Amino acid sequence: MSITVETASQHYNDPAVLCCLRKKGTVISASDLEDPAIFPDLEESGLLTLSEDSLTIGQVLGSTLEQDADAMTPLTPELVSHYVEKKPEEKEKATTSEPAANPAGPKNSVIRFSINELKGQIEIPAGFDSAALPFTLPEAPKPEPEDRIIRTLTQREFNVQEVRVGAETSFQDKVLTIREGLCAESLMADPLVKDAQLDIIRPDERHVYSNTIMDVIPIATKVEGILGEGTTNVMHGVVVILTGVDEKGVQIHEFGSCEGYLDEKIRFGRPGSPDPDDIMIRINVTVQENTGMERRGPFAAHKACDYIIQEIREALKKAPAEACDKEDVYHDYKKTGKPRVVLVKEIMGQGAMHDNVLLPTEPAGVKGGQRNVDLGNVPVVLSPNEVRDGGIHALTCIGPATKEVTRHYFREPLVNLMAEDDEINLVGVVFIGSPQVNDEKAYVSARLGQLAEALDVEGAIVTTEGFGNNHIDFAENIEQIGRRGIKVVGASYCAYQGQLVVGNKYMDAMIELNKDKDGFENEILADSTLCPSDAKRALLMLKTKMAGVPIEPANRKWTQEVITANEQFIQ
Amino acid sequence: MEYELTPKLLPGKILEVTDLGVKVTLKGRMGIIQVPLRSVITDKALQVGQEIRVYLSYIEVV
Repeated sequence: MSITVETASQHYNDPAVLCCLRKKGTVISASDLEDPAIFPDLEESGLLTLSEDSLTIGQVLGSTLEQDADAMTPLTPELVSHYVEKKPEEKEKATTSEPAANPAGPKNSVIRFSINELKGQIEIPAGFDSAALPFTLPEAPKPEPEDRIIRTLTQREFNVQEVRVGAETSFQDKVLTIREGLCAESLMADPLVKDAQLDIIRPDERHVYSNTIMDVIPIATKVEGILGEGTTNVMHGVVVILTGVDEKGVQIHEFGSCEGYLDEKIRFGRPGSPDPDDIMIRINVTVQENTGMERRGPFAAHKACDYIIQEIREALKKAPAEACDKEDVYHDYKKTGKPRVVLVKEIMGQGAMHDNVLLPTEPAGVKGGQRNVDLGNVPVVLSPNEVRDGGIHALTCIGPATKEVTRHYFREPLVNLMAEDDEINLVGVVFIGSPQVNDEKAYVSARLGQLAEALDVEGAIVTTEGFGNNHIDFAENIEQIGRRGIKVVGASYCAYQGQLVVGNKYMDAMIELNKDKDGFENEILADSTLCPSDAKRALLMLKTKMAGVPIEPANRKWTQEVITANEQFIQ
Repeated sequence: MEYELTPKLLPGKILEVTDLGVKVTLKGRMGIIQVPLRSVITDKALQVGQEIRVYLSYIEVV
């Protein structure tokens, strides 16, 4: 099929191949040429063989065909006349030219330079009479304004070396004790919760069978201020995992089920999963039969789990500041003079567990927050510190390898990287839900575009967890931002199983999050989620795009080689 | 909206075999499908746990 003038201009340096039979004497134009995007397909099927002496599209436009030629014939110097010879690569231009000849001689006292391009600076000795210069000196550059701190968050980490069940909930000398009767009490959190059990899994005892993993939740609590500022105490070395079934024994949360041995079902060390040395507190909740696939069932399990964690939080609040093992200080900045960028995190919003609690009262908690499905999935802006302080409690969608659990948001690599980067000004993190129906998707995406316009950003990174119909919003979100002239980069798991079903011209800078060798959702918790190395690639891609450097077109099919090659740039 | 729905070869496992049909679960938690026996091609007698594969895309509501 022939191509348009616009397509031809995009493929100026690609080989020129006839799309159809053309007669001798034809003056070659875009409409005589085949689309280079399908060359790999044509070569694979044996319809096309490109040779080294093939001319490029840029060379043949306007040339004349010297003999009749069939479709799929690459144009070579023997076939066409009046084509453009390849120019040798231009050498870098000199930054200044030779001084122009001065016919009046040195007595004229004016030395005239013809300058093509000037880089660097010229220093003039002190005492030089600047009034004698035939131009006015530019004013000294103003000192760059300093970044202003808007809010500060201090996270105090307390190491936990042992977790036990005892008579009273307490946290002393790095030992966490959880009250024995707490689980039974947690049933009060929601009438749908019929049973709750708790056990402690040490790092060397992980070959334990488990029901489907619904969430991974850090234990953190506010001791001063509100979410995103003040002081938060965090337990280090311990994490809660929520698992669940219904009364009939049907696994909650996953389509099918995700049960199995914990050491086989978790990719330890991912931002969202337990770390290799973490003690896991497993809370297994049983909900009323047949409610596991309704919105209220999984949420009831999260509420019961949060009830248990809240008593642990109360004990953690009392931990003396001087006993903390590490203190991290995070700032939200107002940076002047740096490009404004925004991070957009698309979260699930189709209902049931495809939902998230935004801005709970306690870090990574449930109480006090609003669910994005209830908010109509419209974009909601959080500050980087609000995200890092547990502003998102994920009710977590399918599937295990690609869903972002609560701990993922608590340690989100892109938020941390973009907030701390000196070259950009991260103005906020936008959470946008992904509704089920296309009309609703278009509605929320349009609001996102308008928000990006109002925020006056120059760049954006859009990420999404999971795959499936949320890739339709993903594409729409990127388009709504991109069409406003904002440079945008996308990050998602796609690979083989999650290939994109829609696309647009703004989706030219994409980051693949897959970690499975065959490109599948491999059902290992958090395996193909956004990791620090992915975050670095995404930010570098955004900076590259914002700098106006062209991005090479993507391969036709997912291949790990592209990712591996791009990873070399971030070393 | 225009989609490019490309069938992909997805693996799965048989969950249930009855006199009428089989129920299979697709790898990656992407769903459970129940089909009549005549929709299954096999050289072996059907059993729970057998691995299957099927070309599948998304369901589009028209």
